[in-house]
Amino acid sequence: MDNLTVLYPACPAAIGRWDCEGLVSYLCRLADLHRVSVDDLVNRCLAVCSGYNFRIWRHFSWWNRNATISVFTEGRTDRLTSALALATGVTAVATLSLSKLSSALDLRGMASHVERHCPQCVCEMPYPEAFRPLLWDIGIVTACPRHGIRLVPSACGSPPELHLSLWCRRQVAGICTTCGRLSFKCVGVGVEKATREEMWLAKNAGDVIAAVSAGETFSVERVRLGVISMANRIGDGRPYRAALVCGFSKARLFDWMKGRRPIKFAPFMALCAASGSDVLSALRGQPSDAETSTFRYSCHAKLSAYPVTAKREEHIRAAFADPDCPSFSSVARSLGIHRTTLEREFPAEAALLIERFKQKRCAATATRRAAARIAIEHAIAVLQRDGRPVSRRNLFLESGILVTNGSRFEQILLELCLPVNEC
Amino acid sequence: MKKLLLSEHSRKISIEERINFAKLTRDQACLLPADQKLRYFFSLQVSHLKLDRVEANINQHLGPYSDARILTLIGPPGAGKTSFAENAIANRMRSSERGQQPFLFVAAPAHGSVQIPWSAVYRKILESGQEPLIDHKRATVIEGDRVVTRGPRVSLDSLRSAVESMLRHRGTRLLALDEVLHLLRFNNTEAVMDTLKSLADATDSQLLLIGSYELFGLVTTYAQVGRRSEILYLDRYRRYIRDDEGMQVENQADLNEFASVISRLQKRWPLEWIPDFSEVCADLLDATLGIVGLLKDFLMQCLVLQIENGGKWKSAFVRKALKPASVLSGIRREIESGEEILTKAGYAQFSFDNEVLERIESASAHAM
Repeated sequence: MDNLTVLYPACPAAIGRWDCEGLVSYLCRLADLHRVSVDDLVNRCLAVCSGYNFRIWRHFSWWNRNATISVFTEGRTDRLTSALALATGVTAVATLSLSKLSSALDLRGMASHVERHCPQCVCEMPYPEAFRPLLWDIGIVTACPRHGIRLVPSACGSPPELHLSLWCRRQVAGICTTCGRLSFKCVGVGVEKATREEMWLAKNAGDVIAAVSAGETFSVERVRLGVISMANRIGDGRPYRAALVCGFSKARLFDWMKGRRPIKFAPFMALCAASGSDVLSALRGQPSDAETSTFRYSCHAKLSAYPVTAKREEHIRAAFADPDCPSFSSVARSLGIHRTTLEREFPAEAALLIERFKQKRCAATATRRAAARIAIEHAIAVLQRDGRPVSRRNLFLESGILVTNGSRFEQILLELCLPVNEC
Repeated sequence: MKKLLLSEHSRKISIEERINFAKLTRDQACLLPADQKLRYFFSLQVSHLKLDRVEANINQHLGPYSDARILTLIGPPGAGKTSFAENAIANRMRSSERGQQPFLFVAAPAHGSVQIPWSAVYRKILESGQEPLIDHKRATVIEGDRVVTRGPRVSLDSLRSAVESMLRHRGTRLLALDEVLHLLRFNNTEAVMDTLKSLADATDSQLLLIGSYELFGLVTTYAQVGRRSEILYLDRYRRYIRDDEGMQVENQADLNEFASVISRLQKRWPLEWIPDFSEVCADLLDATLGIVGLLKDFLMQCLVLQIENGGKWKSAFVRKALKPASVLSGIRREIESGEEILTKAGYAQFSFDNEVLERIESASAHAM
């Protein structure tokens, strides 16, 4: 059985295509095929295969919080890739991230910090065949090239009572992790048509992913030549004029053209858009003519116009009248400004709102504790009636309440039943 | 000399080792150390007529175009069913593709419990497939439009689901379950057969159930499986048969084949001094009930005794190596009652007699 791999040699989806599967999506799919959690697979299996202590990465929801590993994170993407390739014997795993592009471009800040999906793609790819394209993890991409609609945030839209306990959650593509709804049906965001600029970005980023996943490699020198050529084309022989057109500083452009530092993906795309160049040919060092776009680079998301004082006062009054007692941060967020800015302007109102929010939260905690106490009392009574030991395990099986160390249930359990069988 | 322990050597020979042993000449085998000599002789597999017939039958029913989902291999104890599945079929179905395991062999466990030990069976299947993290399997359930993990780790559902996934993703085409009677003796045959059938259906693999004669009755009474199952019988050699007139006559074909098996095993004898059993083939057939597995056991015992005696052969070893009459009569009773079951059930009897076949042939000839 020499050729038997530790993990199934599952084929990554859509290799060589724009919708190529991301590395973390493949990992999640593999864990699902083995019927184990992603953490167990990584900490107990991959760690043994590769000899790297993945436990120091902590929980999956922690190390995957910014979805940057699928794009590229130094020290993590390559480790995960090599461990997966070793355990599955599938060498194509190496092409599931943009790791190979890291030698040509600066990939920092390229990933989207918000998990997003295409509402139509997730409906067309039902579980368990569903996978998550790498394209959705790229920050500047906001549209689906297949359906021409905008990507929507995958944040769960179900009410808290429908949220699953941590034990019951599944980290699988195409499913809301928080409530388990298939195809993110809990996300109540309407479908919006993507603009021409968004489609241009999505298609070109998809072309880059397709090329990387097909095994093509790019060099930093070729990319530099491409940048010079495109800057010259935009400035009509005066390359530094391209900085103003594209939206970045001349100093940065100088660095990129002189090879002082590699260019990032977003400004590179802005150069391609402004010069009307094909992205792939530009990465290869010889930009060829293609469709132009209005996409321009901006280093930060622009804040909306600062709201007038009357509007600010109106929002604060509305917050006082709101029976749900919103937090002060949420009021500031609704105005599109930072909470410290608002607090500085309305210190007394801010203090009152914060106090009100804290009181409400305390009351909610007390209510939850009381509800949990009733549920645990009931479960203990059932266990004692059936003659079963009152252990955490039996309590979980009976009531679904997972009494972990330090949780709000632990104190209640200790009060009700001392000592607790720990098995 | 240190006493040789035969049990330590049995069933611990990998396919690669078996192939290496098969390549050795007798002279090379004679140079092996004592324990390796035993392993060498134990690893030898002699093909014979009855086994070839079963192999041809199995080959016919294996593969994606076969409708038979459940194959049942029955035969007398010691006939070599397990060894045939473990080695011949495993060797035939080996895959060079990385991560694939087209054949899995599992011995159904007996735990002495009052319930069918399904979790132990699933665990055994997972262990046989070298599945990682068996103690961390979790069941995923689709409840309406939600996908959730339910129940504790290593629940029956999670193990079953893991087995299905493993068989599917390891490309397992044949799952052999030995000692199936351990599962079927709970007087709940239908439930067991239903479970096995659904496992075969869900994974698109074929099941090979291995057991003794009792398995025949249990499998044939289950109609759901009967339609899509095949029963393969590994018969023994017989010294006497009845002719057309019902007279008992010597079965020369079986005697010759049995003699040939003995001769081939003698030719691989890993010691200088080879005992000659050619003159007593018919008696050996009687003493081993015509079962090649029992013959091999007898020869192995002879080899152990000869090695312990410094390589010198004594005819007194035969008496020690043969099974006692009481044991043999027990096995004989079991075999005869099993053969009676087969005869009563009409095994290998077909609805169409020769006359019907002749009519089909003549009609086909006219059509040409």
